[in-house]
Amino acid sequence: MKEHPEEGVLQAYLDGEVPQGSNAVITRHLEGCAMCRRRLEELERFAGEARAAFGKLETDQPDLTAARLKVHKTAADRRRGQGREPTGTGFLRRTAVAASFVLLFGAGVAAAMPGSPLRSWWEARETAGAPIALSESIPEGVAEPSGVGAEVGVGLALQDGALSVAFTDVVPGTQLEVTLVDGERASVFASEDAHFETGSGRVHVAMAGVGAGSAPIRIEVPRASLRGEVRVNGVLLVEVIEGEFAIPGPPPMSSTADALRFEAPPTGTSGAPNG
Amino acid sequence: MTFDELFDDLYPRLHRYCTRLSADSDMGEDVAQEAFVRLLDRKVEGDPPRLRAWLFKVATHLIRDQARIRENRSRLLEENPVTLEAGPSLDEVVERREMEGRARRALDSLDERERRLLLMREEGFSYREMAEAIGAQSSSVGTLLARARRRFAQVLSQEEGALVNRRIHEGAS
Repeated sequence: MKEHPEEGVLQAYLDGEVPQGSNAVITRHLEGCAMCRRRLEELERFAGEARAAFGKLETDQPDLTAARLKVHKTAADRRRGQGREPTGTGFLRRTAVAASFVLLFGAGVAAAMPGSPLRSWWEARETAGAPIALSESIPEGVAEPSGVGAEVGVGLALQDGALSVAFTDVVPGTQLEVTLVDGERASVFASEDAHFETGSGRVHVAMAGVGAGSAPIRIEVPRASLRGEVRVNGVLLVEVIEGEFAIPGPPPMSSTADALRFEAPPTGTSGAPNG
Repeated sequence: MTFDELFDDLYPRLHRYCTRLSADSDMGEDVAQEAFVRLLDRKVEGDPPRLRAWLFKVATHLIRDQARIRENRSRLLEENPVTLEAGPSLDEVVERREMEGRARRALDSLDERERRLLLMREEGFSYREMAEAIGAQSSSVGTLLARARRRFAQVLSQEEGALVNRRIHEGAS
């Protein structure tokens, strides 16, 4: 090696991260180059200082047994529906929870009034055999299917600030847009062949293999959402935690603070969280 | 490897990473546990390196998503309370707090990507794993890491210089 190795290469050499062949070449270069040896020594010094400083940030040794038990208990509680993911205790959370109760109460009162449009819609909905509920506790009048051109959409209210949207049988590569919107209601739009099932704060959309080449699937999530998730083909694509996106799985094609665009992954993509 | 074996192996490291990244021991503990709960809850599968990468990624997202992180960090740095404990003398406690504060400020002077690189390397991640975590090429990790360590060391050195000057000043007055 006649040229001096770049700093990044020397750093990788120091960290044992260069391939065997390159390692020997760099070693030979270092034997004959005092300047690079000094550069390497400087990098070693920085690494040592960083390591020593991190030692000053040392945290208390965690109680492993207590932590393990707590994790098992929390997971078990959640499976039984008794636990919630921690999402903070800020003003937004309290406000959104209160707003959800007000909304649900208002919807219930409106639906109970004879002649109310909401009640008429609900009765017509049941006789028309519209979406099958996933749970027994469907909040009356908070889900309403509506056709939008070649798309079909549903709107639904959050359940205690929570929202769960799941798509199945989406053709891999179909585009999905997830956007944050103002207001309290979520909306989900897909091609007209999609079949929607709604429950409390959740919607399941069976695409039956339809989707590729059609308009993108659109999911509008209220910023007031405390915890929300969008799953596609069993893969968790997006989480919304206190009105902000988190991406635990495959990266999006494009992203801004308020909008993400994905391609639908294949079913059960390896290594991604399945639920 | 069972879940409990994985937990025992990775939890201390994840806990340390989260605490260092968030500058908040309570948040570090909560986030590390939450990441493992999600691992159980979502039945995530894969070999240990993949699960480790998933856990650290989820934990990083959780920390980032906490709007209070900046507040907490500022509070810790500003208040930095010195409490009397049984055992070490007041001087030792003050000295330890000062060293911890310098290290914390040096770490905070880096951007989030650099902090993650330093902390992940400290927890034994390979360049390839770090590149995946931060969305960079493996070949650029050495350069990024060198830059981060250099800046970290420089800020640390400035902090130490400031401390020496302060002590000289205090001694003279």
